[in-house]
Amino acid sequence: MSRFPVFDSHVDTLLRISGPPEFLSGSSTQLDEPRALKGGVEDLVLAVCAEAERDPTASWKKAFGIYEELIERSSLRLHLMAEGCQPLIELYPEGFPRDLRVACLTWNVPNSLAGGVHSDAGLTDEGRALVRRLRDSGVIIDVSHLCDRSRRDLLRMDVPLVATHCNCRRLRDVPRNLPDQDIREIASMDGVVGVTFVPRFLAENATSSHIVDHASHVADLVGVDHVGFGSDFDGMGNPPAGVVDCTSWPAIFEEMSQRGWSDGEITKASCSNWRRVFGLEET
Amino acid sequence: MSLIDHWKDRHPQPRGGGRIIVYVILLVLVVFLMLKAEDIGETFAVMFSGDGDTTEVVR
Ligand SMILES: [Zn+2]
Repeated sequence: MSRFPVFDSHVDTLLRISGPPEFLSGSSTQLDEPRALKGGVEDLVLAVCAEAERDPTASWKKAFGIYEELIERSSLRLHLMAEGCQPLIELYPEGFPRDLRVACLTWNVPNSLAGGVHSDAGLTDEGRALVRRLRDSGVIIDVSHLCDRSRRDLLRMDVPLVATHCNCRRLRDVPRNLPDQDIREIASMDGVVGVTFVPRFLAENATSSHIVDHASHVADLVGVDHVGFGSDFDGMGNPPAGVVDCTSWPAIFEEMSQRGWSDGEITKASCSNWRRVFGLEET
Repeated sequence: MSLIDHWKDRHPQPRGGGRIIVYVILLVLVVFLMLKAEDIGETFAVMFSGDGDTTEVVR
C-alpha cells in the first residue's frame, strides 16, 4: 500500500472492459480495482473516449451503463469524464448526467465543436455554447486533446480550465503537450496539469523518470499547487519503462522523493491538487 | 469548493430576471406618460393658474 493516496485524473478503462465484474475483481487491462487499491488509488476519473469508437453514441451509452453500476459497487471514488463531447449534444440537450465532472470538447479529430490535435480548427459557435452550458452545470473543461488554435480560443474564453492528461512541450515537442505559456494561463485560473504516462508524450525511450521530469517542469514553472497526474492507463499501448500498471504509483513517488520532492509536495501532486479542483474532501 | 464554484464566486451573474422587470416597468411608465400627456398638462395648468376656482362646487 502506497503512503501517498492517488487521484488519477485520466484512465480509459471503461471502454476496455466488457462490464463491471472485470473492473471489480480483476482484468487483463492496465487497471482494475484490486490493483488500483494496491497502488494507493483513491480517486479515479473514468473517461469515455466515445469519439474514438465506430459508434460514439452507442459507446457512450455502454460506458455510461458500466459507470453507473460501478459507482454503486466500487470502493474507489469514481468520477466521469467525456473525452469528446459530440455524443453529449445528441444525448443531453437539456441537462448533463449529475456525475459528469470533466469534459474535453474533442478527441484527436475535429468535430462540430472544436479541433483536436489532428487538425488546426478553432472553437465553433456550437463549441462555445456547449462550453458555457458545461461551465454553468459545474462541469470542468479539459484542454487535453485540443489543437493549439482551439486551445487558445478556449483560453480566451472566461472559463476555468485544466489538462487531465498532458505533458510539457518544452521537454517534448509534440502537439498533445502544452506550451509553457498555456501552462501558466491554466495555473493562473487555479487549474492543474495532469502529467501523463504516455511514452510518446514523455520522451524518446521514455522511463518513469521522465514522468518526474515533466512534473518537476510544471512545478518549477507555476508551482507545486498546479501539478497532478493523469496516467492514461488503458488509453496507451505499453507504459514507459519502470511502470507496469496502476500498482506502479509508489515507485514514481519514490523517485520524486529521491529527487528532492518533500512528502507534502508529493501529496499535493498525487491527490490534493485535483481534489481542490474537484471540490472534494480529503479522504 | 471546486474550480467552477470558485469561478462562479468571482463572476457573480447579473440577475437577468430582475433587470427585465425594471425595463418593463420603465416602458409601461413611458407609454402611460405619452397617452396621458394632455390630461396631465391640463391638471398642472389648473393647479398653477391663478384664476382657477379651487372651491368649485360640482353642479
Ligand atoms: Zn486522451
